[in-house]
Amino acid sequence: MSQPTAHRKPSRESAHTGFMRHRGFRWAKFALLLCIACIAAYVWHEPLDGPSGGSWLGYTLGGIALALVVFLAWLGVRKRRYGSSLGTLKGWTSAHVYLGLALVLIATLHSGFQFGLNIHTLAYTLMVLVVVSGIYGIVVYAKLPQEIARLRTGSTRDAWIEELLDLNDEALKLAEPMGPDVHRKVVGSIEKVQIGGGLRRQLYGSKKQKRSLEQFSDALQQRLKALIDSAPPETFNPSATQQSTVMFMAGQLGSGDKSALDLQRLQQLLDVIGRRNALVTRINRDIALHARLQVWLLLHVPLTFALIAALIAHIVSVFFYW
Amino acid sequence: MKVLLRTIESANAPTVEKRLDLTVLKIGRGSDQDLVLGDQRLALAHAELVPHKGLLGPAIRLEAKARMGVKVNGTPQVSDTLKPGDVLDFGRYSLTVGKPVEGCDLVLTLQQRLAAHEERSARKAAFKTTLADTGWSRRRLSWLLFGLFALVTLGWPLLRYFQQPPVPVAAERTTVPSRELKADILWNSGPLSNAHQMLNADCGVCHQQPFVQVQDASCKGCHADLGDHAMTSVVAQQHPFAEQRCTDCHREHNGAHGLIPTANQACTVCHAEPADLPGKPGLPTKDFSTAHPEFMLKLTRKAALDAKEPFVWVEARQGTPEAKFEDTGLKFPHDLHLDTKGIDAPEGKRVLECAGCHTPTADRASFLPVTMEAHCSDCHRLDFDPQHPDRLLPHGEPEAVVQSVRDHFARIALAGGVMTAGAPAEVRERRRPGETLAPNRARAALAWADGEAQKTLTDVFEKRSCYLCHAVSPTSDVPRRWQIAAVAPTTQPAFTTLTFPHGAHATENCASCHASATSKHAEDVLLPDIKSCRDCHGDTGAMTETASPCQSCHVYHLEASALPSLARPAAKKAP
Repeated sequence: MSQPTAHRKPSRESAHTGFMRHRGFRWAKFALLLCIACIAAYVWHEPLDGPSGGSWLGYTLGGIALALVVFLAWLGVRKRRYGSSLGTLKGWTSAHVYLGLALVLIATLHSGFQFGLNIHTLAYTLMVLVVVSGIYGIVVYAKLPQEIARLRTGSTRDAWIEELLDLNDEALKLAEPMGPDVHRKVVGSIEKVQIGGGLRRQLYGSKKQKRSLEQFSDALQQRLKALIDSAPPETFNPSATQQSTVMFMAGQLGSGDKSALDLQRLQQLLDVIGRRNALVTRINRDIALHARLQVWLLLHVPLTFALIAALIAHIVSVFFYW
Repeated sequence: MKVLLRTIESANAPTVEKRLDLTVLKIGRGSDQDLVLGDQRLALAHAELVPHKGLLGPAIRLEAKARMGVKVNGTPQVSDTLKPGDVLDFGRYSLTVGKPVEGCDLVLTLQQRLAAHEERSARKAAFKTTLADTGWSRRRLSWLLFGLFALVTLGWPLLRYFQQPPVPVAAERTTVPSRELKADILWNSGPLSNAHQMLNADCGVCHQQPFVQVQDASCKGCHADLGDHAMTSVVAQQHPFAEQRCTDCHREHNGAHGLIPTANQACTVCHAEPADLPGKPGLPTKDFSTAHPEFMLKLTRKAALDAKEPFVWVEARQGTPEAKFEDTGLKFPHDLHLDTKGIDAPEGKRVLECAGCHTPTADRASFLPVTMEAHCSDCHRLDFDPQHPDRLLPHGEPEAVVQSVRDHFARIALAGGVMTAGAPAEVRERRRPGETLAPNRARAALAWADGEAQKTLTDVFEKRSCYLCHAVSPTSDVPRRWQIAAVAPTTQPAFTTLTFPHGAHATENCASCHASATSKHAEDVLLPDIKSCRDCHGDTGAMTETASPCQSCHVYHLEASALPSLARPAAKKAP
């Protein structure tokens, strides 16, 4: 896997990180001011029964927090309205991030640090979880796009998958004249190739496949070289290397009296399989990076909806039993 | 084995039928196979279909030749007996076993499910490469959670509420509230105060109407007898009392002891600038440590001569000359009594302590009045005749004293046998039983008795017993002859708006607040001033003093008897 230095330092103004610095941290400054104002009011305010959501400042902070939640959740609507001219999406995202962080502070002040086993603290907890998942989102948005760009080096995943299928066909073609054992091994290996999969597979890949592909790939390339360079090795036990196609190939290579043509074919096959394995690893890495770039939204968005439900219950209940 | 092989090349193409007669049907990619299938994933010799004499009659078995096996109805098999309807997978080809027809042992339908290029795109499409492919839909998950949370946190309590709406009546003392918590306990914004815990199961006792704030009526349903803060009903209808609600100060759901406000603000919101408030609520009081006014004392003063009562109560603020004395009508030097070397007592020197005279009340908040009989008479004996030390004067009734002394001397003079020096013979003589004095002798004896009584009374009233503690003045009023100054009543607490909780200060000694050891006069006011309090007490939030909110000394809900008013009960009438 090559890592061209050209992609190591993407511009700060790139589309992926730009929303943090949008318009000279305009929203960061706004959020900071909002936080300072809220803290100042909280410190200055001395309600009779100590700080709580029920004082006039409590209601005010609650109102601000509610407005923030609605605004933050509205990003999901705004980003689907491509025709909207209400600010740029980048601006919205920037505001979303900084006001989302400010929300934690404002909601905490709103609570007056009164927590308990009730739906009010439940709503607070959900809010914190949403923001924490969002913070994870900021981190991956800041890091992973660069990694993806570095991985892809200008190519696309579709092209890689095409290439992978080509390599599989080529391997089968090469295996055909090499006897049923080789053919069976190659077919088996093609069947075993895992591209993506379920949620866990996409995120973490198949550990078994990773092991067999990554660990052995390099070692076997070297082994092949050694076999070609030197005479048949003294000790090579084919039965111990049945675990993967490449090991089996190496066994075939080592098992002695093959014609030069066979050796050439085997070398080609090994080369194809090696390239394919590297490609599988790269495709799965690409899938994993994209999955990590998105998977937090599986928490962030549904938890937001849970938060909105709990928030409605919070607001209705405090006024229902005023 | 006779085999009928039907081949379907493509969806619209006609079926091609072919009959084969073989011992074994060999299937694979190799050219030597009976059924050659051009899928590179197949082995050259992939499988064989073999006639088989089974227990239940002849059958056809599948024997896989490739080690990966053959998928029969989706499950890889190495060897299997075929039934009509079975589908065998050979790469992109499928072989379906049909029902046997006349003259054939086996009917097979061969179908190429996908063309080579179609299969490639199908394989690509089968890869799950994005999160959207995994079936974890954000939208579905979102609505699921939304529904779930809305149902549990809102729907359930509301449903229970409307199923069993709370009865909007105040908790009656005859009704024990339910112990069964309802779903709306989820809405509880914080723990109730200790006293109200029993209401956890019944929110409606206080929250009587949805979306309406808790009304005073809810509180007064139980707390009916609480005193008002406003002194009169007129004041109670004015600002700020008119718009005040119980919940302005009493904020529930603030924990075990959260219901009673501890912030001074509860009081200072009005009392910091009381000038424009009704009912003359006193001097501005912003806090305790710096801005609290000097204490207002209730003191007794001698009334004007023509007044009905001998004493009146006045209020005087500490720091003014008026607050430095009060009229007691007594003589009492504290310093003499508290002399650490002791004071003369019948048995010798006795060291007195404060507690010797000042007995705490049952609630240990205050002290019982000091009385002559209980506290003084031990030393201040009211005997008057050294010959008869057991004869005591009645206390508190000067007329009875005069009578008593005269009667005493008349009796001993007539009885005779008196050994007092200078007594006449009539008095000195012992009488025989039944003997009476002749009238002239009796007159002489009584004259002596009158003289003794006069001497003793003058002594008692003007020099000794009475005079020691009371102001005595002679009067022309016969037979009383001496006037004892009235003694001030002690029925009022010393501070105007509170009773000092002595019990809470039991670890202190009296002298740390009361300068009694140096007080020479009964008129001295020995109440400590606010500076003494500030030695230990500070504002709420103080770090080095006892944080003392207004409520540690004052109460809001005044009881009628605690109302500071100058309309006092009558002072005890002086004799």
